[in-house]
Amino acid sequence: MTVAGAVIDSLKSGQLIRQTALSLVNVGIGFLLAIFICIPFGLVIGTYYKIFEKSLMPFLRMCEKINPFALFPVFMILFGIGHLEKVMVVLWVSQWPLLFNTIDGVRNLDVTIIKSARSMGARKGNFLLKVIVPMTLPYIFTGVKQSVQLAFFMIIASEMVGANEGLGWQFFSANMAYNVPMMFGIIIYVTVLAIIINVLFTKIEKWFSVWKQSTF
Amino acid sequence: MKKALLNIHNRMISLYIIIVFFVLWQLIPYTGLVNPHFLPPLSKVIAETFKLSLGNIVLDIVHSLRRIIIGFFVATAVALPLGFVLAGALPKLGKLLNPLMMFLSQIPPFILFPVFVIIFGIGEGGILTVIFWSALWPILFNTIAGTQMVDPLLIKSARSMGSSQLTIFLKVILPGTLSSIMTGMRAAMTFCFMMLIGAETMGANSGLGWEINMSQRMAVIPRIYLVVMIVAIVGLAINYLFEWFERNTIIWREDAPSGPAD
Repeated sequence: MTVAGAVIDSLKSGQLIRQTALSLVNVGIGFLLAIFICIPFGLVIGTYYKIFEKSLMPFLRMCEKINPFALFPVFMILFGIGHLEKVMVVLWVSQWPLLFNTIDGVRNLDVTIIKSARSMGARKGNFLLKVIVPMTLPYIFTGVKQSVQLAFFMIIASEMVGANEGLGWQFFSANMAYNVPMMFGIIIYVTVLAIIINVLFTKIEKWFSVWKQSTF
Repeated sequence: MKKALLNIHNRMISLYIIIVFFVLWQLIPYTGLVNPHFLPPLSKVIAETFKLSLGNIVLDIVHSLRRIIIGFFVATAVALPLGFVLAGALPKLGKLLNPLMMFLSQIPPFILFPVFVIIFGIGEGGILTVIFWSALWPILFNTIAGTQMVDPLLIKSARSMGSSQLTIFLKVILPGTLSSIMTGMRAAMTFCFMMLIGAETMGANSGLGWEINMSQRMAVIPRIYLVVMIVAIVGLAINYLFEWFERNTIIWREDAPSGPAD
């Protein structure tokens, strides 16, 4: 059996597609949660509550450095093996790039623009939506791109360590059955998926930072 | 006096959160919000140190560090010359190989681990190869990018002043790329340390990752938390060491202008 044959067989039977969908759903949920939590949090921390930033940043930096592989067993204990655990793993790994990039973006805001918006009488709510968010958007999308890659990478790893469905599990079971062509097939398949995700998000990132270049 | 206290307060402000975190960890299991069996209080986790014995912990750390050092240095020894050659001496070949290298670098190393085990056998071979693999790409790409970014004017002027190829490499290209190389090495080190724990969890008979896996299998939950904490500390220590090293080796780099003063 060849590598291509193994992949085509698996694609035909729908098994590979089903497992991919399962993995991607977990990534999607965790990732969206991370977006909804981290971006507002980062914006608030970076703009209004400097004291928060000062006190929280070292702690958050420390948390970021905790090895996610070491945390898999802890997540398994706390959330049980299954969807919830996978979503939490994705949420955990993808929150850091999002959060830090958002805070960085807010910090690097052009002071003149803030001052001019303020002098033109922008209120706080308006200010956030019309000035801060658009200005930080390119940074946020850098974070989005980094974290989606990390999330995809980590979901495969966490499915290999403990799961009964998903792409990582499919790979693991091929490994257990010593189905070497299938193993290589899945490696190539996963890499292609990763590249597709990468290219897609690079496009999105470019699309969102186009206006930035045009204004400066 | 008040000023001095305030100063200390400002310094310690980040420490408060960490202390609060540990205090909460100690207290929450007793409140009954979570099952104390699954989230043991901090004191129990620390008491586990003595059950596991300090000697064993040190041994695990040493085993893990040995693997990471070997893998990392072999990767550096391969990636640096390769990067310089591909970017500087044979740019055409570099361009030709670029798509292939991009593809290879996108493969999640963790998924490659079973393949490496099949090829190199269970044991050190697989783990070292995974570390080598994950360290190789960041260093290689950063070396190539750094070499390409060296100002050609500098190289031309060095050449016009009659310096040999070797001198140009040692005095112009190397200092120019070193900061980019260090960035790559730091990224590689972080990544390798991550992969090390992953690989040790999958298949090893010593090391920190193995210890986590064993505690998980034997369901000694406080020990899992303990080893996770040790892994975090070792990771932080490696990171700080690298930052210190970077600050002290690249003294000629001008610091990027910092953002608006706060």
